[in-house]
Amino acid sequence: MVSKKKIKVLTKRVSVFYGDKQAIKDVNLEIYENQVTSLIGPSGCGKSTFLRCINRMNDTIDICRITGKVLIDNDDIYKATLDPVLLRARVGMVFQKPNPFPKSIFDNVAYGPQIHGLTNSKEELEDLVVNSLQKAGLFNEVKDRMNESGTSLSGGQQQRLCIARAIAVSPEIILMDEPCSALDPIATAVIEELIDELMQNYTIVIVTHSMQQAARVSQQTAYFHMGNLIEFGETSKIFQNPKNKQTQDYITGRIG
Amino acid sequence: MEKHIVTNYDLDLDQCKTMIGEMSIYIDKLLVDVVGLVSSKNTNLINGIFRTEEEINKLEKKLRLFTLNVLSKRQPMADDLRAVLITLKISGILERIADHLVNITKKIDHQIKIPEYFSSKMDLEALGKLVSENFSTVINLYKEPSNEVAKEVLRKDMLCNELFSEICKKNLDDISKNNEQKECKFFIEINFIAKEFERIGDLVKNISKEVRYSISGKVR
Amino acid sequence: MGLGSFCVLIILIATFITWYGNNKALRVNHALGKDLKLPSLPKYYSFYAILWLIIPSIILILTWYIAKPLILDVLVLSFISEDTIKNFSGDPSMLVDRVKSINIERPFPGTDTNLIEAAVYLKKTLERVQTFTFLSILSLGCFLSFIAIKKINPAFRARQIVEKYNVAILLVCSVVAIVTTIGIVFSLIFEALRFFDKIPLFDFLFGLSWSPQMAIREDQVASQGSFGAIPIFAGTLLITIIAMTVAIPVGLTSAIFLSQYSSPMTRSIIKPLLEILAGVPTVVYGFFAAITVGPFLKGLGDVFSLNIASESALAAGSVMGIMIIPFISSLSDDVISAVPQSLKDGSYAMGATKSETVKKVILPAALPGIVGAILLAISRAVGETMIVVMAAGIAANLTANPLEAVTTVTVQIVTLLIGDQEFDSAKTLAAFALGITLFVVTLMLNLFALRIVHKYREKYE
Repeated sequence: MVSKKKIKVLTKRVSVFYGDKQAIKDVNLEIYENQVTSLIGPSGCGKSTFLRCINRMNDTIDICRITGKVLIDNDDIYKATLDPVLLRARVGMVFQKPNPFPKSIFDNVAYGPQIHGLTNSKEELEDLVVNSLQKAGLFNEVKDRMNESGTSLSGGQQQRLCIARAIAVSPEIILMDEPCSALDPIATAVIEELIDELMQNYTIVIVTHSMQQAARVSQQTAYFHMGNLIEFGETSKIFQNPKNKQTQDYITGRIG
Repeated sequence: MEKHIVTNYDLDLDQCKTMIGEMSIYIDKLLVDVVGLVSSKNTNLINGIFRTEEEINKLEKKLRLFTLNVLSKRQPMADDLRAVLITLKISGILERIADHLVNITKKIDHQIKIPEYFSSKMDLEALGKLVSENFSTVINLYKEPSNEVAKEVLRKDMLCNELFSEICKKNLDDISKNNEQKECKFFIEINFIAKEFERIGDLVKNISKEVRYSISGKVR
Repeated sequence: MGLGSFCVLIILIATFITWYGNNKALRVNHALGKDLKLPSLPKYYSFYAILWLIIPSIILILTWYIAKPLILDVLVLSFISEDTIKNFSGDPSMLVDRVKSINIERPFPGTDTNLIEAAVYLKKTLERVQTFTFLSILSLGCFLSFIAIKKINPAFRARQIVEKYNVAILLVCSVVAIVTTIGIVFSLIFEALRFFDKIPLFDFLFGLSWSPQMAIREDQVASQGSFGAIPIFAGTLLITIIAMTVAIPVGLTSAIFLSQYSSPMTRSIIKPLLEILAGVPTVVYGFFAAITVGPFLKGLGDVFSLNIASESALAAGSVMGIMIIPFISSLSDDVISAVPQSLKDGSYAMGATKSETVKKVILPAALPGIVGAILLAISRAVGETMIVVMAAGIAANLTANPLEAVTTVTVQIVTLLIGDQEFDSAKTLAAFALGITLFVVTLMLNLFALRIVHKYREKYE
């Protein structure tokens, strides 16, 4: 499809330990710019853990230890001089359960720009918020109630609000941790449509339990099992003709 | 039709239709060429026909991969599922139509001697034109399904069958009148060509069946 | 036979009935064969039988204890001779009371022998009657429960009935609590109404002077006490404000530290220590305030040439604040810890630091719960007595100066009710008026707090 793909994120022999337990084992993975890469695999296979390595969210867990290298644009994000706060502004994240802050819709989106001091005036901030909401396809639904609480929205709208919140700090990469698992099929379809659009401007990594969703939204798919990266390749190849038997068994529902 | 929430899904389904349309344009061209060949043998035309057939085969492969992709990527349901399914089947039918047309071309290509008296020539041309016409109708039916057009296709197919038996009868007469063996062979070949056209007519009818299935969801 | 042995007996009988009923039900089940079964488990049938034993027994026992005094009166009056009644100057019912109060073993010398005999007779008869009553109640209960066991058959659905009785029993128990509350409120209201007969409501609520002395003789100086509640409510308010000024910042910050920053180790040390604060009796806080903090503040004031009363609102308020710290910190700790991890993750993922997350996400999310905690703490502070009695004095000054002595509602209630006085004087009744006012205020605070806490709960479920 795309002739030459630029590598956005590169992991080299990444291993993650929770205490003594090794959750990820020597994972080497390439994530291409402006593409959707999906991580699939059974529960507890380490795909979420791997995702959280990319924006150093694992730092918030005390017993978590990581070895190996994670490079974004050829820059090691685990080097000592790098500030995780700045990193997270570059790598946004959307969670499994929609988690809007108990603030107004406006304040939810304005949160990131405010803590990072991205805007100089109130007008600029308003523009940024409106723009982000538009990109998240939510603006038309909420434009008349920007001051209502973010928690008053429906589940799908809340998730799009969280996406708008992540977009507001103009990240390069958006990580999504099972973004649709709490949503109904319609809201899921809306989010998937949104992912299709966001792909133009962002690099997206999505963890999903639904293989169908991985097939629908992503260009690249990585299959994890027991902390190992079993197979990685173009989504169409993984789902039509996987090379590895384990992958085949998983996507056809023979093991799980 | 309501649009899907995911716009790329609509684009994929449209692409299915477009590819069938593309194939059918080639088939249309083949049909016209082959009918022209029946009225007068032309070497250029023959070479063109072979090239077109290759194009059709390529397109068929492309379409098969594409529908496979759509199936694995979109997991279509209900009418979408049927639409993708008939795309796959129709592309197969189109490919077979192209094969039959190539068979006709080969037969004409290898035919050396043409007898002076050949009573079914006009009928054969008419049959070719009728099949060609019916094919256009069925492609219209595929693009915009309607009951009228479906009936029209059936009616024309009946005509084809009648015309075919007419041709058979005339050829039989011709064979009984002529004693020369080579000419006999020619008449048999003509019969085969008529048979191929008749097969194509059947396949056209099958396309209309597939379209009706995709609309109603009932296998008849 | 006393109530104790009655209870032991009834428990024994109940055990027997359980066993017997169970067996009976099992036998019936067995007799019914494989395909058919009793509609309820055997234990429900025995439980049903026990209900028939216990419920009538309880009702009858209660009736007996209500009826007992009446029977007593009749018995005693019938025994005492006409002469004694005639000779007695007061009401015959007083004679009955006197008989009841006689100690049979060592009667007060000079007591009428007729009365002593009556007392002895009373005691004996009463014992006999009571034993008879208890035994008949027991046998009635047994009879009823055996009928219930006899009734065991496939058409009888014991489970449904037992479930209904369960609900009824639960209802009765909760009604007891409600009735008690209502009783307290009504007793307060009636006494308060009597007070407002003497002192107008308006004077009470808006009067600026509080000196609840009533003259015993008409001609005494200051014969008319004044009952303006404003000074004492102002005093309560002042002390509460001081207490909250101490408790809210300290409690809240320690809650934030404990729930967000401390390591599990530190938390496991500090939290119990804070809870020890909550376990210190308020009396101890009281003398701590009166003996240590008060004089210390006074001394401190002397250094800056400020005149601080040794019994000051500041001393009482600040110690009360310390007392409330664990209250606020553990309640707020709970609500802050209840803020879902997903919210914090959301904030961290935006690149927020820990303090930004606490300030902008966790506190706003927990705010309703924290406000609820503070309101509960306020109602606690308002109702606190001991510290203020000991450290803030009893003089009702209308002042906003925390360095002076003030008094609070609860302290006034205590001082009004201490000592000898008639129970119908305005001075005593004022306590009830204060009580009901305080009750209304804390009730409103509690309702408000519960409502906020409730609203908070809805958010994350």
